[in-house]
Amino acid sequence: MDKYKNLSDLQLVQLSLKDHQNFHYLMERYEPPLLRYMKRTASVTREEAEDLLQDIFIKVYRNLNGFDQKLRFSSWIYRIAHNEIVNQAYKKKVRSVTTSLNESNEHLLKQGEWTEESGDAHFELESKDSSERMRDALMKLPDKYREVLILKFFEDKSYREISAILRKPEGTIATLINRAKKKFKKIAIRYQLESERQP
Amino acid sequence: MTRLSQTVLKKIEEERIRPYPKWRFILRRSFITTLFVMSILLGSLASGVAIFQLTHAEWDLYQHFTHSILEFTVLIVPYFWLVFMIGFTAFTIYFFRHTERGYRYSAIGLALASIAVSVAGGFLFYKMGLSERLEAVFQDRIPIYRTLQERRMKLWVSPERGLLAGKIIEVMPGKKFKLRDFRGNSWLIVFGEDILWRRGLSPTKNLQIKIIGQIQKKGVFIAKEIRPWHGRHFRRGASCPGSPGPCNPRRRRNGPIGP
Repeated sequence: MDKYKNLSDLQLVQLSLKDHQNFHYLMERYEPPLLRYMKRTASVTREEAEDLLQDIFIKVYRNLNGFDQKLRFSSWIYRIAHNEIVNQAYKKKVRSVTTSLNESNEHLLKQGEWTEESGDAHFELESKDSSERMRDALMKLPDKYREVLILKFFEDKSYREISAILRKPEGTIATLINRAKKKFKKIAIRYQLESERQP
Repeated sequence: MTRLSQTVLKKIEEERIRPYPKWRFILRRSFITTLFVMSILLGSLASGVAIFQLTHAEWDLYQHFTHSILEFTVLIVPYFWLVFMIGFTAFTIYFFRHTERGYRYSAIGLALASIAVSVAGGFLFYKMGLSERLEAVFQDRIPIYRTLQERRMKLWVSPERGLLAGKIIEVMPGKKFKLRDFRGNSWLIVFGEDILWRRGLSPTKNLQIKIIGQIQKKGVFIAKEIRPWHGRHFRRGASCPGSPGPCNPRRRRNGPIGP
């Protein structure tokens, strides 16, 4: 197991294509971040998230030969996850909402620092109460703004990666993030997240 | 191994799930690329015919048709082909965005690039004569297109304004020929004193022409200038009978009389 830990994603893809049993190394590598991502972006319970993740992994496995090696594997798998979440939300005809900034996300929120690169807003979230308000505030954002904020600030993806995941130009991603931050700031004031703001 | 990965592996085994073969992805990419290239080609063809129609719109005669050049422009814009060009530009953008790297480019940038490529391609097709051939094929074989073009044809059948267009049905001796205009009326065309034959034309049966001149009396039209209805690739009778050398392809005064 340990020797596989140091292998790159691409090497694991090649191993998985040789023997499906090796696919579990990739799954184990991506299970925690994808579960977190799903719970942040979709209104799903843990069970639903796991079911959805199974579908995502099956889809990833089926499409392994189509993986574009010029992309990062993580961008590719997030793209598939994103598409599945959108499809799932469409199927259920429910609005995709940000939910669980709880449980597994708590640690992120506790250490949680969301700093605007421009430096004009800086939120430090320490309590469960603020995380709930943060969740509510995020829920108020339109999907297109929420997803870029989550990918940028929670999943820590670069503009290029977000561009590859959402299949939008980097310029559009930058604009969306900018607008999302402004909209979030307005909402945050309403949800009294502003009081948590650091000077 | 986590519970979830165990479940997935079990499902893969039980349902005998296999990765899709590589050729399937190659085929999909090739299909998208082919559609993308076809959209560019068709957009270029549409743009080529639009360029052909615009360049053959007889801008120098706009005062015969309308009061201003703006009014004339609105009148002769090849809307049919522009709609096609815009449609194929949209397809080009759509298919390009579905290529592997297509998402990286903005829609506006792609639209501008696509239009630029269509116009450049169209200009090339126009220079090669393909645009004119395509226009002629549409005229001959597509009734709806012919109906749409009738407006343009009928513009030229305004003898009271000094304009006439149609097909030569009989070449007669003595500097005259018979013409059936695009409204179906028959005319005797008599050559004026200093008649100008554009682009090396000569009177030939079935040749479609435009005539600038004036009505002499009912059914008789004096021609001062004759131009081809189509461009250079669909003209017949461009030789200079009785002349040892080739005709001046641009301009020839006192053109030949009938055979």
